[in-house]
Amino acid sequence: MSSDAELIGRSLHGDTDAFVEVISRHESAIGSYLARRVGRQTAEDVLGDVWVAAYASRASYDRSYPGARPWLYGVALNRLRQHWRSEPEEDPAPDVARMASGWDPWPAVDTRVDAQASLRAALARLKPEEREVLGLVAWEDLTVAEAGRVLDIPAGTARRLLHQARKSLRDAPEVAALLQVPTT
Amino acid sequence: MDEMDLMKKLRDVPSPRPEAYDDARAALRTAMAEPVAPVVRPKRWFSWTRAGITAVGAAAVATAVVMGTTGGGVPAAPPAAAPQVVESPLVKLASDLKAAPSQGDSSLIIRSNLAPDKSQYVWYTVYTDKGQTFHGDSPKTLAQAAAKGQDLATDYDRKLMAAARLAAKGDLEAARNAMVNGAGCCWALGMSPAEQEKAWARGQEERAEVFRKKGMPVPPAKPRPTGKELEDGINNTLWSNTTYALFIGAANAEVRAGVLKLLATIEDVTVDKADVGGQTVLKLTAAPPVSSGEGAHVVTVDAGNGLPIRSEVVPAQGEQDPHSVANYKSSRVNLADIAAGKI
Repeated sequence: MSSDAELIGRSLHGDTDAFVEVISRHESAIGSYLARRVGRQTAEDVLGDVWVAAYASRASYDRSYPGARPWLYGVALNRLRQHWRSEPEEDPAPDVARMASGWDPWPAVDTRVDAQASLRAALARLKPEEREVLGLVAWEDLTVAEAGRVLDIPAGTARRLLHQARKSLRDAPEVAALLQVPTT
Repeated sequence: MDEMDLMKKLRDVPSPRPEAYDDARAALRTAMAEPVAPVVRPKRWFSWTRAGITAVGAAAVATAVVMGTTGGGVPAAPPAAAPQVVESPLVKLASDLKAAPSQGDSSLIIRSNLAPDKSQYVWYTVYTDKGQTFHGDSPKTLAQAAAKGQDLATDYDRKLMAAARLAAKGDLEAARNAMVNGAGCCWALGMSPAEQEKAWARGQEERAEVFRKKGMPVPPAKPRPTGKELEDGINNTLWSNTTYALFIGAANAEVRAGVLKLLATIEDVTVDKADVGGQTVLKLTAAPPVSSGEGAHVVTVDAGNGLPIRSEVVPAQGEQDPHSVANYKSSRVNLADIAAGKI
């Protein structure tokens, strides 16, 4: 089976089906990633934009990496940043609205139970880049190095950010309480 | 249990529905069906609602014509629209450019426009005097492409740039044929009627394939246009390809001079001198027949050196599509500096 990098290379020479094959391999993961960040409706709205943006920028793909999923996460994140910049007033959660960052990827996460609300409150206090690395590793099952690729930062920096994020969560009183009391 | 386990409890949210994935893939296919090179097309920002019409329409206006002579008893048709360089400020500007000294070894073009969500979209293209092309969506990715020698010129790019440079050297008719034929479909200028028929049939089949991929009924193949419709179709391709070449490699004086000379051969392109913010510019306007009937396409260049400043599609009255604009900055650079991240 051809690698993603090989398929992208073929698409650069006019084989459009090769690029669709790349998308088909990763659409479920990227769709879920978007839904976790902005909710299902907006995820559905922007998914096509992500594919078009990926196609338009495929010339910049570093084909020394055989797998394209981290790159696609990065394209999706850029599209989300555009979305957040263009719609800053869209239903911000109260705890998110207090954040210093100009954009935030977490308002779509449900607050259905108290434990989750507590965790979300702790997450909201993290720096945006710490939250992003944490989410990519915990939710998207990426390695720290792959998370670094998504965010275009060195693996060592990503590792430090993940360490800081985890420590901050553990030190947060509401999370410490959750870790002491078994949850269902 | 640790904090990572807690995080995973927030993982499950409703995923996009299956039809949303289908729609997204269809949007991608529509974007890919655009008839010219996909990466740096110097047009307005993508329009979902009109993309299919544009792609199909561009393919639908193709026909064939013979230019020049053919040997071996093959019948040759008369030229439909022989290139005639009229007295144009573009021609004088092109002549001045060829004589001007040039620094650096490459052309750098920075295009910026607004995405539908009003965010800025910037694209960088380096065209070296040797004919290589590097792209990037940031100075960093451009530098990486240049440093790794990732020449991303397509056949389409190479043919168009070669045609522009040929025009600068003087054989305008051959250059015009090469520029028009560079799209690969469907005019086959300068070839025999049989070859033109074949090219036309291939274009019609490609058009039908676009409909099939979009799940739409395939309309019957169209006959080759004649007369004014033929001329408009050829000029549409010539305009599209020459302006594409300009936006890829304008800071190469030979490319720029060739493009200006070729544009001067299109009767339906008007040239107006104007003053924009104290800068004297030439506004090149392709009337609707030349710009596929999508409204007027206006390309603004510096009146002193011909470098592109702005590309603007002005929709026809009553059209829903927004006015779209791309701005260009051009400069001469050294490839080694680009590869080192010095922009």
